[in-house]
Amino acid sequence: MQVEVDTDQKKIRAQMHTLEGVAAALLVIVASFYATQSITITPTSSSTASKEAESQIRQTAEDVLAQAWANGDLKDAVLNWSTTQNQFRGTGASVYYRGKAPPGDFGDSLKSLFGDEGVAYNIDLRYKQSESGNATGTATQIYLDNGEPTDNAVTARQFVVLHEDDVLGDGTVVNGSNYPVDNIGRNKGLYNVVEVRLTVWRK
Amino acid sequence: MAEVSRDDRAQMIIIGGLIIALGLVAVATILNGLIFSQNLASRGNQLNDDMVVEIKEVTTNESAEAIRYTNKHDPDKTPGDAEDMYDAYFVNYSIAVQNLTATRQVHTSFDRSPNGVWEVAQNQSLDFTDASGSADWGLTTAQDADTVYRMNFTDVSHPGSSNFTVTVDPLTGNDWEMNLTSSEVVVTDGTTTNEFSVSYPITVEVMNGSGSINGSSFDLLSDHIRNQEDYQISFEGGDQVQGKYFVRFDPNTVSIAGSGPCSTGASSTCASSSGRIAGVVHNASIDVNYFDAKVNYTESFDVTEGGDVR
Repeated sequence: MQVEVDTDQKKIRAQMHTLEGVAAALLVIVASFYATQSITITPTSSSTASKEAESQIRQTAEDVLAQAWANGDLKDAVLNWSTTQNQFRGTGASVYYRGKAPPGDFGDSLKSLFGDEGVAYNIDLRYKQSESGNATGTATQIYLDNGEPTDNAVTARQFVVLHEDDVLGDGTVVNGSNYPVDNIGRNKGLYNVVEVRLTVWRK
Repeated sequence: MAEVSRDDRAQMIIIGGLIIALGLVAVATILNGLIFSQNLASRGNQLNDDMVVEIKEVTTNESAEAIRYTNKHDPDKTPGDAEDMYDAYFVNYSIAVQNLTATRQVHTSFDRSPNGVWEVAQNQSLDFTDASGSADWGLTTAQDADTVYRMNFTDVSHPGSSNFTVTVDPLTGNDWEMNLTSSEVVVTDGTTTNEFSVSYPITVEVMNGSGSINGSSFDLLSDHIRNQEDYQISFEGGDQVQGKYFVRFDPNTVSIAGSGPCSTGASSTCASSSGRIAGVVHNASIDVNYFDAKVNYTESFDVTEGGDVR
């Protein structure tokens, strides 16, 4: 009789130990999983941290475009074209700006925000092409080139509307033959809508 | 037997503690994941919302620009012409934006309908009205050749402004001579500066259009005229009338140069028979539709030439 009781107690105790071992193992596993997750949220790791950095840099880029659009600096920059040299004004030998900010207030904003932070940026102008009737194509004019963006580059965009009575940087009225952006208005007031794309990345 | 029970209880306490710890860690892990996911998701929506805001902002701006362009061009256009002109401008805008956003997997569309395409009449007589709306042209019930009447225009919508000051000097008979000066408009009859004659009862008119009168630039398509805002007109030495007015000049006596409505054609002088009706757009209704993978946004609003959204 005593032997049977001892055997039952041993069985129960063995089950308890087993349960304890399983619970402890699960605790270790879950804690390790939690710790692993926590490790990914560090400033130097790739995914989460780069998303945070991208978000910040995108917000800055969007802000600078929105601000420049609101005060007219962006439109001035887009229209800063020389009809005689057939290039953006102040570019030197190139049609577009290379390795430097464009002149004017918009360029100053870019320099002050991105100049000292190890950040590079490109600017493209995308616009609707002038084709017959209901043209669906778009074309791109490089405005500023600082090299090839990295994989974690972000792009901010802002529409700028050009009008048929707008004046270019050299004082001439814009038209389809003296400016790289097509005239889709055909004497109906609106010249074209330009999407300014500011691509920013950390060097 | 009693010793065995104590051992079992201790064992159970250990297991219970482990299970509680396990639960806490699991809850913390799940909450952490949930909060992180929500945070990322809300950031994504914010970016899309920014695009919607940008498109609405630019569209509002361009609708106002389309109205401005329409109202400033072709001063002889009819209201139908004005509507077509506005439409042509806005269609170009909407097609361009649709093309540009399509590459972002964003669908945008815009419906527009110009409201209040009015005939800004310049060759019609409109009565002054009294407060009840009845025609009341009477400057004074008792004509007194010795009295100098001063007629003051007050733009009720813009308190403190003095857009017009009209002085009426009664002459003999039914002829009256009027001086009209203001910071915005200088009118002459082409012979005597700031004076021209009208017949009694006085019809005071301000012409609509943009350009210049005898070299003085003016913009008679300015908002306070076009929108028919309230004016209060008082006569010093005369009766008081108030209401909404088109205020125009006598087309037979005013010579206009420049690009005003009467300058179209061979003659720069307005004749009474000239068609002097200009169609203008008062405001336009805009429907903005924006769809992408996460955002489904539609909104309707009215835009005035000044860019005000209602």
